[in-house]
Amino acid sequence: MSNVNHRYSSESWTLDLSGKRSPLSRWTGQDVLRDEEFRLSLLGAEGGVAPVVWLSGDRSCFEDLHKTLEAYVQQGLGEPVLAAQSTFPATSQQSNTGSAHRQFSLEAQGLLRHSLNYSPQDSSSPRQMQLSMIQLADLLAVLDQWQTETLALPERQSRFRVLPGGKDSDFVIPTWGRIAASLVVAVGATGIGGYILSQNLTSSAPKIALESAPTEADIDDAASPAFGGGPNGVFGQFPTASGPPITSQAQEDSTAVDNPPVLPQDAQPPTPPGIGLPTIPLPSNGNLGQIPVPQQTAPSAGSSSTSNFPLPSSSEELTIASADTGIVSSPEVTATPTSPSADLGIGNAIPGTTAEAPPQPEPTLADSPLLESKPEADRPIERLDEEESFVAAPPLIQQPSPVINPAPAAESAKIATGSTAPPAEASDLIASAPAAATNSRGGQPIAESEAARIESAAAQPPVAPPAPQVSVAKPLPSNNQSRAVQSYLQSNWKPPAAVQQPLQYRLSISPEGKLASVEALSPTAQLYVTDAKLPPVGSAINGAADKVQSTMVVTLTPSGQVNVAIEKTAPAVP
Amino acid sequence: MAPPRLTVVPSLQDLPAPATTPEQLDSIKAQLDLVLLALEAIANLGSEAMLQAAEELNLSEIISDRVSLWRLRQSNPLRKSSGGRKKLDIEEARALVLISAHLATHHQAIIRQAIECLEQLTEQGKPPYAAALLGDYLDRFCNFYEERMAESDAAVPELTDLALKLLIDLLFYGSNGGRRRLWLALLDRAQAGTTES
Repeated sequence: MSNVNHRYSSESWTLDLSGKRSPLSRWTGQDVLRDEEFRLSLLGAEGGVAPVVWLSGDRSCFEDLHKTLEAYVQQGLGEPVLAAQSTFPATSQQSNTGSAHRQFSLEAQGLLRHSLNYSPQDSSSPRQMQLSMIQLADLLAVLDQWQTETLALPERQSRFRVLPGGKDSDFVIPTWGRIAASLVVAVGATGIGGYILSQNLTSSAPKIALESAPTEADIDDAASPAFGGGPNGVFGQFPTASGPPITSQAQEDSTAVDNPPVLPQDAQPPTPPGIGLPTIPLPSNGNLGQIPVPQQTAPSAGSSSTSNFPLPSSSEELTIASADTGIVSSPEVTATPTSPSADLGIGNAIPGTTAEAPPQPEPTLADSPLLESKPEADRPIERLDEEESFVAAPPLIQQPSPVINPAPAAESAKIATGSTAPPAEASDLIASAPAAATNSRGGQPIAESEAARIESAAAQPPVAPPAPQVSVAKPLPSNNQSRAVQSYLQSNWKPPAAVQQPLQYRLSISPEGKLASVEALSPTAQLYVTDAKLPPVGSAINGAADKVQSTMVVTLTPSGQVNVAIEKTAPAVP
Repeated sequence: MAPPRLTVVPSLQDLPAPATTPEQLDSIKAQLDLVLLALEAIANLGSEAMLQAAEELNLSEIISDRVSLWRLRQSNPLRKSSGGRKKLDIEEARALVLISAHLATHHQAIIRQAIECLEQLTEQGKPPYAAALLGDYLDRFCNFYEERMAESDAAVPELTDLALKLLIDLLFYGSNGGRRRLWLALLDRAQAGTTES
């Protein structure tokens, strides 16, 4: 595939597209591209200052923008045009679109003004731009032009995201495959369960007969919640030779269970070790829903075994649960469940939240990735750098952090509550069980405490995220160009009083020593682009002629310092 | 190497042809006639330009001469003495859409200039008539409307609003996907009108 660059221009916008051209272009008559990157620049908005990249990102982002504009304009055009009904553009006219993680919206402001808002849900810096009617039409024209002239090669998408090892996979399981897998699991579990049941019945009957007159202490122990004598205790669920007296005793003591609301009515806890009665955690009637969910953590001695959960009936549910539980690290907590497909699309399962997570002996609620509500500031700086350096401008397109999804999380927490280690075969069968199983806590209603935690997190004052900074991983040695830029800016940079954080710009200097492009790397930087006193694009900088073309990140600090770091250099093309 | 670019003449088949009721067709006729009226007013066009556009778009079979064009436009129910004229069918409506978008594209510069004037005047709080370009457009539009439409006693402010709304719409009809936008807008309005009634 060859690299290709396109530029679509109107009088007020420029859309730069770079990508790889597929050989399919030969047959389609259009450029078929993949791995596209876009930069949208507004021309002339800063009064003679270099065009500033307003948005950069991938195809999906720009498709969202295009859809929003299309819908908005079409809505305006569809307004009644006859005299009595002429109200274009209606002040209430609004158009929103976008996935769960990006959102553009447009709103009419008066007769000829429009407000374009871009608010990535993971970002604390939504962006807004006032557009004139001409700018709106030009932006739509540029996007139309792009959409008309290029085709995108669809990216391969994996629906089954989580595999052992926690890596994404391109492997897609068809629906029939999931059904077949569920059937195999059900049949296998039934057969194995039946076998174990028959083995235990034959071997334990005499033993029970011998122990059929338990001591009072034995009965007390058996009835205690810690040993599974809950309301749906094993004694009442499976046929035993010891018969009804023990069952009724266990049921009478059911009020001792701490968390009955969490339990399904037909929950069947597995047998706790150490009790001298035959208890077999088997699916009744071959119902897969009775198989206990595998537990990733070793049950503590005091953990209650009164809870047992239906297994998701298909691998699809497993996948969704895994994806849901992999959602962490968003400063935003919403009670609206996001769609499973949206969650899956994120593909950012956090290590440790999948079934392959290393076992944690005593997971606490605070440790649970499900319940984390870290502000973005807490994210590792490496990740911020990785994301933001790609898009060049932080408020632009970033891979958004997933949003906490309390509802599924709560369900998952319920599922995990109090469950004990499953039989080994069930554990093997259910390789990708919900990661929420790691939230197991002995007998404590996690859903409630989780809700309380989320509430308390929401009540805390938000932590202002730091200004996104782009750092150059390994700055190249300085050259004539960087020194000339440093010198130029050092003599021109007079930090305004309002500037509280460093401003960063990415400059490209041609071998002739001319400023080839300027890109603001943060909204604040864009705001103060005029105050930065950057040389106009196309103008030569004294002493900047060199044999290379350099791209550098310039940091202007509020204290008046200027730092220049070369990102990359390319030899001059003769 | 970039693939060769092909120049494609817009075709009627580019526009979907949904089933329309007579009431919806009436609405489409009226809206289309107004769009053409605005084009005439802003670019000072006559029927010759429309016929030439029809020829460039290979639509001469549908709109062959001045008379056929006049009959099509007279089918607008808002027109004076529109009764008894030829009924506009969906194919003719699509042909007029292509012609309108084609003309809007050709005269995009003046449309754009007029919108820029309008934006400046609005920001300054001045009336549209303050700019010669807009003033001439509004005058011509009002004159055409009063000459041709049955409801010729419409108030000037209302006609001004209508003219400006049509002018803004023309900005979008002249762009790349303009003909599709115009057609969808016509269908939307027709459907909305039917629903309201």
